[in-house]
Amino acid sequence: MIFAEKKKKILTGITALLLCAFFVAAALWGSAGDAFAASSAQNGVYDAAELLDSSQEDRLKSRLDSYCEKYDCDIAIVTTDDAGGKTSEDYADTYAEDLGMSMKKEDRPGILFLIDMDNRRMQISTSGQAISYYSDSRIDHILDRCYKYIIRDDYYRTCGQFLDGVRDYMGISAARHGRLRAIHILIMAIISAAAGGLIVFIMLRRSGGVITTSGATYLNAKDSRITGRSDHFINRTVTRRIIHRDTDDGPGPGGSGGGGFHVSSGGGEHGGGGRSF
Amino acid sequence: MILHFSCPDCGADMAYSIKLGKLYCQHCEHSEDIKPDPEQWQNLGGQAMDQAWTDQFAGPEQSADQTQAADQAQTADQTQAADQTQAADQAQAGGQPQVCPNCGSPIEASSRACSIRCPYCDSSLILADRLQRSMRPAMILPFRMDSEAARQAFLKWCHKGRFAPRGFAGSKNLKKIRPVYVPYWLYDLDLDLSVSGIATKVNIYVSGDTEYTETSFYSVARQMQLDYRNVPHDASEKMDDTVMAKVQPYDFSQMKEFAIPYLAGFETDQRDYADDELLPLVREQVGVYASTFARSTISGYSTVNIKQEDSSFRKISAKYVYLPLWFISYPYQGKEYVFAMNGQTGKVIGTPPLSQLKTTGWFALISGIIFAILLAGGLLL
Repeated sequence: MIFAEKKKKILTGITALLLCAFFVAAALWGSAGDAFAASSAQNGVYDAAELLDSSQEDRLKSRLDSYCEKYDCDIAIVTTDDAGGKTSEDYADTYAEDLGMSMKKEDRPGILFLIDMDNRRMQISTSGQAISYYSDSRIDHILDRCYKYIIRDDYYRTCGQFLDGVRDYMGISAARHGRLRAIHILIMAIISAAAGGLIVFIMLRRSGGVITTSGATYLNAKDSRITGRSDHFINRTVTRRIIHRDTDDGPGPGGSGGGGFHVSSGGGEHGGGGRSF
Repeated sequence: MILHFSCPDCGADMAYSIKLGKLYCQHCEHSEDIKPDPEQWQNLGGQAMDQAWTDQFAGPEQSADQTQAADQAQTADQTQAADQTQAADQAQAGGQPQVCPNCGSPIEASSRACSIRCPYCDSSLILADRLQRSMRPAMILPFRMDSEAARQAFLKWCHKGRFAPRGFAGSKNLKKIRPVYVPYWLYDLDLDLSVSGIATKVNIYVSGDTEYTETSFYSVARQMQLDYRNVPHDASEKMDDTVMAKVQPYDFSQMKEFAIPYLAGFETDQRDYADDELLPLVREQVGVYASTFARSTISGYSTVNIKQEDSSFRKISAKYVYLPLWFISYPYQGKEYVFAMNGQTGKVIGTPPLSQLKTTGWFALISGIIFAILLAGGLLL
């Protein structure tokens, strides 16, 4: 009898864990994304302006390479001292095309980050499917994080924030919040354990019987009455607030749902945005 | 001073039968209706009075004569004996050892007990001198659940337990189930209450690219007369107040005029507290009830801020009553678990043993479900 009870409870626990495992598996499967043709682009770090030392470059490159593999895309980080008279946007788009990133928005996703010391501007150029992943608000979000470091001349961390942006959004449709990371899952586990513990604690406390009486139990409604009431208007105040609408620093339409795109001088379809510093 | 009820047919001890609502003799199945207590039981003098009781049921003429004679004898003794009885009472019957009128063995009763069973012959004995005047309750709520019904209700409650181990609900373990009358004060409180404060209505709307928040301020006030009836508070020191509060509610409309025979067979103690001693607690409790009610009468506002609250009690009265309770003690795995059950409704109060397995199982299940929901949200959003 006792063993049967044990078995039942263990089964319940296992079922709960299996449910979670199923969802985690679904998550991982969901993030796999479409498979593209093997990359022919020359991904990497091209530090013409020499803003990074060699160990920083190596670390960025290894992280960059792992993301290319993991998220099945092309990534490049470029710095320059001389934009050759071009705008940052044009320079970035052309560089991406020269490296071999996609020309059409249905093709392999690619993203390039340019630090243009000549125009004093950061620029992100997206190609292929990355155009749809990186909406204007996501671009803004990444540039916000980069801006914090670039004004302090910390170019290594600036690039690091860009790679964070790749990690968070590459392959995730713009309608969603971003990639679910291990830390998110850990936080969820902690919250559910805490909530579960609290609920079980409350259930235990109630198991010994609760108070079921209130004022209504003893109020003699027949002989009770409201003998007076008054509701007098005193005054009215009105406050106003202008609704702040987000303004884009970058070019193009698109807002927060799927990026808009433009066509570069080389004929490629690109998205992205930039920010001066 | 000690009353006990012998069956007029066979002489055996009679006790109150919950099922019949009468005095009942188990040997010959004779039963008697409960009649109002005669005057002398409310103002007792000298000896054991089971004579007076059997005379009540002897026959109309006979009983009338004998009761009258008994009456006269009593009144004569009264003035003399009354003081003595009281003194004896207060001295805890120190000078005069009490014996069971049925078997003669000495009685050991606590200083507060007024209804007991003789530990030797199991007769139901009422220490009537402890139920005099201010110690005599006005009403009693007789048991509705007899011991079998109580047993069933308790087992049902055990089965429903979410955390109790499976083996707990076996009836073989049910050791002691004993019925007790608990002394309570029931209060009637009439109060006048007035509250006043500031309330707001907030209206938010958008026009163009501006959001307007419109706040209207009102001065609100309410006055009311509230009557609360039969607010109970247990008057026994040894009963846990929280448990006694959780055992409520009782249906007080079932209460009967108090008569001593109702106590036959049940353990009962005198009350420890007078009505004025418990009054501050009850006033506080009713104050909260009234306050909550007053707030509920102010509706239709976004916020309500009560700045002033005044209450005054117009009338307060209290009744001393006995309410029925079953005590269940249940040994399980070396520990003794005690539960209290409302003797009228069967509501059970008490902490059952915890099964580690069930607790862990519930925790895993609930946490698992919450985690799955969070995960699904994270994936879809």
